[in-house]
Amino acid sequence: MSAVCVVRRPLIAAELSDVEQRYKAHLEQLFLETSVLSDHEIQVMEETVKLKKRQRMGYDDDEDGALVLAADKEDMAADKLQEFQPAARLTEADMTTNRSSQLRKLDVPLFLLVKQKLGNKAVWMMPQGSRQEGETLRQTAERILMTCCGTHLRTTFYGNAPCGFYKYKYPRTVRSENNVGAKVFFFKAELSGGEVECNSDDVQEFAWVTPEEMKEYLPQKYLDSVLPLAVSI
Amino acid sequence: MTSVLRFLSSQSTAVLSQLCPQGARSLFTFSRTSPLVNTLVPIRASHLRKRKRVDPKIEQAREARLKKRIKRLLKKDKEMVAVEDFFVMPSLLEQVRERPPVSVSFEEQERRAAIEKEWSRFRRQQYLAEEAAMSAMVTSQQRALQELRAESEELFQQAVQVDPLLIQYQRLGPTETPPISAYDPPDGKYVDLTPME
Repeated sequence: MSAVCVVRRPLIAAELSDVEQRYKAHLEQLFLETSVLSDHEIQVMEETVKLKKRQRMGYDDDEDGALVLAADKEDMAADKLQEFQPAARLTEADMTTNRSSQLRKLDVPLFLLVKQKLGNKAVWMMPQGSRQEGETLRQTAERILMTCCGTHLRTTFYGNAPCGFYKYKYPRTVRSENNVGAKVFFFKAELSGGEVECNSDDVQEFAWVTPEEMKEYLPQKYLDSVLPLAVSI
Repeated sequence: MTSVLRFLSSQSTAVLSQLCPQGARSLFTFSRTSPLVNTLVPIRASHLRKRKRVDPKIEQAREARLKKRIKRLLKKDKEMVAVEDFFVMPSLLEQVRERPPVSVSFEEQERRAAIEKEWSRFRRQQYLAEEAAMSAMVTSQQRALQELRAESEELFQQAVQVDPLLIQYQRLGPTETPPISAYDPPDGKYVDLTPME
């Protein structure tokens, strides 16, 4: 059997922690103190001197209309920044905690879980399916992803080798002489784009979750096999 | 025709056998043999042409000139080459540019030292966490491959193949804010070069 661990990589940089923010401020202060004056700062200094002189001499300030003062430059830059409205870091999906949206929690990697039919029961797990004749395990994994999640989902598989392993025994009613249980080999894939579509009978629901949230869906033994793959770095 | 060539070749081998102690034949090999002609192609032959008698003085002068040139090159080798990165623009070294010195109080210095230490500790914890995560991933993969090998050797060999599509891998990193959907970027600064008529 093959299973696929699909990861949606973070879209935004994580917020700096307290230590990181303080260290950043510390470094900025140090760099400022050990640096040389910039062109802009020199212009500011010269202009303050000039303006004071002019005020003392009694000149009008309006005579400098042609030149662009350093202070004006700063104002223009600030205005231009105001004009641009960036997208919000907390999306709609964050507000409504819609777990089936890819665009929730953009600063952490999210992993795909599906509610698949295993025998009679529907169980939360990573998309899984059995290998057919003449297929490599990776081809199986790709096929399963297409059948479970639709053809619109675009992924990049991380190589031909499996990265995780899980084995389980079938319930006594289903066991036969040869088939006591199943061995599942996990493959890791990265989401490049597209949305998940569950249109098959097997898959009813899906969710994009963080490793902490996975504990709510997955049993402990399965989680032990999957957590090394689902790393938040 | 061929008999003439064979005669010449025998002559040259005779000459060579006198000049070099190694077998003369070893210096020549018959390559490009065709039904018509056996051509000799020298592969490791030494000088066969006669040397002109040069005045020893001119020769010595030539050698002296070459030695001088070699000496000059060796001297250049010892000079230190300016490192590109260490070059600072002269305009930045002027007096005007110097920032007025800031005096840092004792408490401030202590605070700064404390921050550096805290950062060092924080980064070490981060590194250890990353190492643990990486090694867990590697162990998990090794175990998976072991189990796969136990299951089926053929599948294992297929799994261990290098994926050529993955060698050229590219990904855009995370940004400060997420991308705006259907964003229409404004025109940048440009110089209009359309000919006016």
